[in-house]
Amino acid sequence: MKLLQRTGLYFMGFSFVILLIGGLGIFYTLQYMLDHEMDENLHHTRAVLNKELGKMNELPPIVEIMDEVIDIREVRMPSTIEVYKDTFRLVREEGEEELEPFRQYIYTDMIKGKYYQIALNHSKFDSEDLLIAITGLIVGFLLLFLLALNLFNRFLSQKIWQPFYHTIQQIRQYSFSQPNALTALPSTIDEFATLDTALAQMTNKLTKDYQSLKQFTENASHEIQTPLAIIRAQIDLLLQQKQAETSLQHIQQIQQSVTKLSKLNKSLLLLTRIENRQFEPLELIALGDIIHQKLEALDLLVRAKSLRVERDISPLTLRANPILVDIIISNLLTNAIKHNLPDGTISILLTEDKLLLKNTGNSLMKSPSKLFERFQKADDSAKSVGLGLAIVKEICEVYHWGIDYRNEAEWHLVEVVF
Amino acid sequence: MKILIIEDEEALAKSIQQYLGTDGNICEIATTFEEAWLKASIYEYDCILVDITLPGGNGLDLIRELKKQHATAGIIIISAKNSLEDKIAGLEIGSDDYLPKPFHLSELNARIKALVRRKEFGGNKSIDFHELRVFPDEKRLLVNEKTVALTRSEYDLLIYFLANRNRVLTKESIAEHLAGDAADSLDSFDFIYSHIKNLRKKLMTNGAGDYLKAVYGVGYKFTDR
Repeated sequence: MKLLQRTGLYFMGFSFVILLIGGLGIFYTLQYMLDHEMDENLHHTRAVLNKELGKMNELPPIVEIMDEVIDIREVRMPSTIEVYKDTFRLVREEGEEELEPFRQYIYTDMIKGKYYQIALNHSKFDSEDLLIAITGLIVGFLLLFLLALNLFNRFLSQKIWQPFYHTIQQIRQYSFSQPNALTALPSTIDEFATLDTALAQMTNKLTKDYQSLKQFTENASHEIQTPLAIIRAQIDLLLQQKQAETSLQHIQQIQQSVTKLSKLNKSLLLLTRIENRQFEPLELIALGDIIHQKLEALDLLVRAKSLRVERDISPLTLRANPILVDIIISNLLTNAIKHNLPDGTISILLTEDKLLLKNTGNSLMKSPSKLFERFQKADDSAKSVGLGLAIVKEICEVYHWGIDYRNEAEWHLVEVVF
Repeated sequence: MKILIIEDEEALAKSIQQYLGTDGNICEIATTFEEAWLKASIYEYDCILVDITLPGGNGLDLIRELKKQHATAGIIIISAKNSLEDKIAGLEIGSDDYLPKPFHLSELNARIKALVRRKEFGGNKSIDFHELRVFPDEKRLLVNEKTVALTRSEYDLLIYFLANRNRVLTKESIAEHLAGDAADSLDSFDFIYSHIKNLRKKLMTNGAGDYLKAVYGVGYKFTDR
């Protein structure tokens, strides 16, 4: 729920409560005041009425004078009790009997030597109408006022919060790979200005950190490759001199380690670069062509193992970075060759939405889910680095492709769903 | 052949100098941008090796300047940044080849020779070794003036050996030369045995000497000694 909606809702709820209390307050205050006024009038009427009643020969039980209806009842004892109260009476009006509210004033007076209890009744019908009209008017006006206030507040808030929403939009669109400085709408609100400044500082720092991290991985790779190049060159030179057989073996060991270290370094750099989304330009790529090209490049290795290659390739065009596509195909194919049996088979099936790569091989010793983790090898003694499939997975994540591995009898299946 | 090695790591530059020097090449070393610029503007070179990251400037800028001055010199970039972007940028501004570090000196040697042959003789010059005569442009081998058919891998191997004659070539370097980047993901270099075996057989059955010799555990050597 938006902040404005939420505050608006509270505002409305609160207004409703206030209106309810206020309305009731006004209603009862007015009622009290009207009753009080009427009571005074009734009291005033008492003196006049007594004079008038004294002139009469006989007192009837009910007298109606103007608005007032008077009940008269003879009592034996005098009483000083005076009561003002609300009551209802049946009133005949245009042939129908209706209950109407009345204000009643009961007192006892002596008229011509006899005691009478007299009830002065005054219709409240008109004053009740007035009461409701006034209360309704006031409450209606208040309601209108609150509504207008609320609407105005909403309009004002939207205007005031606009820089905030603009900033949110900017943050949402922010990308590290294409950092644009956040542009803030000018705001006279201190809090928003502070927010914008803080955000600008934060993004600047993050961008800088990100850049330096990118730079770091590249530099680290550079710094590692150079000593490796020196070691390799020195080994090449050593090999040209006459060496004892045992020395040759040592040199060979060093050579292998250097090669492995160099591969590891390259793979890690590649992984970092993929993670950092440093392969930006996208192109339309005919995947079938890439597969044919790669198979041709790997022909040497395929023939060395006397592998049979079956391919069923449909035209499929992808929008991706050509280098990454090259790497993913190359890694999957070399895996299929590397872990194949002599005289084995590789089957490549490319349909309109997926690539299914099958190869024969020894059954897997490890849990298939672990295969895509870093530094996981088919068997621990292998000389490989164990990053090939991790790289494949990382590339799949960049493009939201699904990847799955299955081991069915002597077949290993890798499926990439585009 | 005169070669200028522009490389800030002196140890690496010296190794290259020593390796290439045994073939009778004259190699000079420049370790900074200024030094490289100075030497390149005074002397003529057949081939210039350029490291892209140099103290005092960018190797790519240097190549642009070199291309203006030395239209004939072959330029090979040797870079620790094995990125396609750098490679494309380098080739676009006129360098002839790109070799990512760490490389085998034998590979570098083979590339320099191929480049200079292409540049200076238009590839028409044959490579001669006793009774062997190879025409690189036509990918043709003559043994005692008789054509011998080779597969592409065997031919590549022979050229590689001829460029590095009398030197020990490791299995790794041979595998990398043959398989290119794919060799990176291989754990074993066994696939080269059959190619070497076949090449040796073809040479010998056609009357060539036994020049291909195994160096125990390490690799092979192409030599008449």
